Amino acid sequence: MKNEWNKLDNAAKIFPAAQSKKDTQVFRFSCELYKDINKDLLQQATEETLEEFDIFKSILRRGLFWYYLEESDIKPVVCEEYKNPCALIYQKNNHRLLFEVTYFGNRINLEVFHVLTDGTGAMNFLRTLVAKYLSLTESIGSVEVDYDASTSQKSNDSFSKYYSGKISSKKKFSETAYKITGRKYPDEKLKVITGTVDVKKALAEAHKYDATLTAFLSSVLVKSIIEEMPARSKGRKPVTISVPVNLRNFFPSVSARNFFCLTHVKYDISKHGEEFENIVEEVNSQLKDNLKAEKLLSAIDTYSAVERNVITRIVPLVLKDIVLRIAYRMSAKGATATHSNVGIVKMPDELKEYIKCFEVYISTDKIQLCSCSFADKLTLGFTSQFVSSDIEMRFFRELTKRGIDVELTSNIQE
Amino acid sequence: MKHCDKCDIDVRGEALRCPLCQHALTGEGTRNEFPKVKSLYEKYNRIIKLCILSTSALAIISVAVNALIPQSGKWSLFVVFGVICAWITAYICIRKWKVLSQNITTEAVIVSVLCVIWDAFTLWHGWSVDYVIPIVFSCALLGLFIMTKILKIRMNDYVFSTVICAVFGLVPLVLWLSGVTRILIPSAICVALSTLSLITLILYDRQELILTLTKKFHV
Repeated sequence: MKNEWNKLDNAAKIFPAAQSKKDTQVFRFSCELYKDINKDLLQQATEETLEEFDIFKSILRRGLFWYYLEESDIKPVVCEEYKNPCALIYQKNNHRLLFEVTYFGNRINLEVFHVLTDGTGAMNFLRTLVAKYLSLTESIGSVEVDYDASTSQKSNDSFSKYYSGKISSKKKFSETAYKITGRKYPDEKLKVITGTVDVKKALAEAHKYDATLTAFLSSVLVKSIIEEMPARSKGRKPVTISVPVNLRNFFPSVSARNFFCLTHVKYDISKHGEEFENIVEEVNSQLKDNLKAEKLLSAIDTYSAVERNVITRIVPLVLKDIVLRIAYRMSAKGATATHSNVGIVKMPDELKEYIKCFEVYISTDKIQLCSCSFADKLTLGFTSQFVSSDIEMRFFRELTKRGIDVELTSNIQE
Repeated sequence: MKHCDKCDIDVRGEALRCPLCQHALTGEGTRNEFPKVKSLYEKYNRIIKLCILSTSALAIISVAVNALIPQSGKWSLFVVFGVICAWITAYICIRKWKVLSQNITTEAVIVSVLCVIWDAFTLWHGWSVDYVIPIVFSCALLGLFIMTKILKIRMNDYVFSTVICAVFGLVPLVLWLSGVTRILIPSAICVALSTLSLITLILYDRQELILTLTKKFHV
């Protein structure tokens, strides 16, 4: 039945053009249980979950002017993990689903192409999937996660809903940030290093500096980058951390699609120095300043206005792809690294005893940190293509120095 | 669980060295958390490389031989252009292998264009517009129809591909009216088939036609 189709939401419009083997725009959410995964029951749970998230049934198609999502009846096939994390999902001449569910040992993986949804949307899908899976394996009857949304609400384009049509301030040209360089793995392999820590200890450290957890972790990341910067680069360009913001926290929406916005935290060493106290103060204050509803609404208006411009709309997709790819590469130069805090993952009380933790990470051609917490565990997932792990090393050593124990997992098995 | 004394962290898995500082780990390993992934090796890589090599060799050798016997004419140009045409056609076919209806349409367009170029550079005898274009698009339309409606092969883009082929299939009408085409029968058959295809779509697949055009042309 192919009558259902959706235009791409504003954020999604860049991803098909931006994706490549080097930067696949795929993110992975994992859930670690205590028991090994049963493939058949996971398959059943996946099919049942798909029925509640119509947008995940979509395949990506090309129109003359824009890409669009078309509902398909392709059945998802669950299999054991067999490729590098966050490998390419969308292939131009191959109609396939834009997400994959795999498993390895006691871990369920959900990989999603960013065109479909953002972290919050994917997390809702995974939570539902895990709840259905555990209902089947533990014979505890159906357990609902707290995600109250109708099918059409889930498929809603919230960018379009909140676009006011006002012409906001012009988008400022973003300053080039310090660029991390180094040797990369061949085959565009993504290196994953995940650290699990006690969330209470991390919060306590953050509160010592009167900072939020996001600000504290971003500051440790900034400090780690600065410590690895060559002396001649210090003070030349700022260390900029890109922080995606879940707009659902500011504007009511239960959409299972993209609804986020990128903010930037710029740290200028020449102005503020290298002391950690200064870093935290500056990062915390910038984040507070960025996270104001009026500023975010203005960002929605600015980006949506570009998409709705008459000239933009009638440019053929072939040309748009090229222009969007260039625009993406240019804007990527405005950030040194990204820190995405997905937040607290809530699961029903009856299921908590079966779940160890959740993990998040995303493909990148720089370095990216994704954090999420479940129960008393905070997971910090680093991804990068660089062979050197010095920045990650400094980051985790900074935590252990402060008495926060770290348990590490990595796909580097030398 | 293994431990790194330099970083003071516990490390899961069987790695011998710390992923952060590469210092040797101490302690007992646990099960690996990630599968071992082999480097991508495309099965068909060898065959494709061999094809490219042999066709390149054919083109280069023919140019060399022709240079030695220039009095036989510039036949090596035909060989080189023939090889390039074969590459283009094969490349499109392989790329679009999984989307059959798009494959048929694109190949029909490519073959027509290449034949027109070939005809133009060989003293224009008109065979490309008299025979190739009408026959290619007639076959494409018939092929799409038979595969979808009679053999019931599932093709995602049947409607849009038929529209494209039918529109191109009306080009012989323009060519005939402007006097470029001199042989009527193939063009007449092609234009008739195109018109019939469009009418069939409007009668039997109207809803899907409208939906497809809305999706493809939405701004």
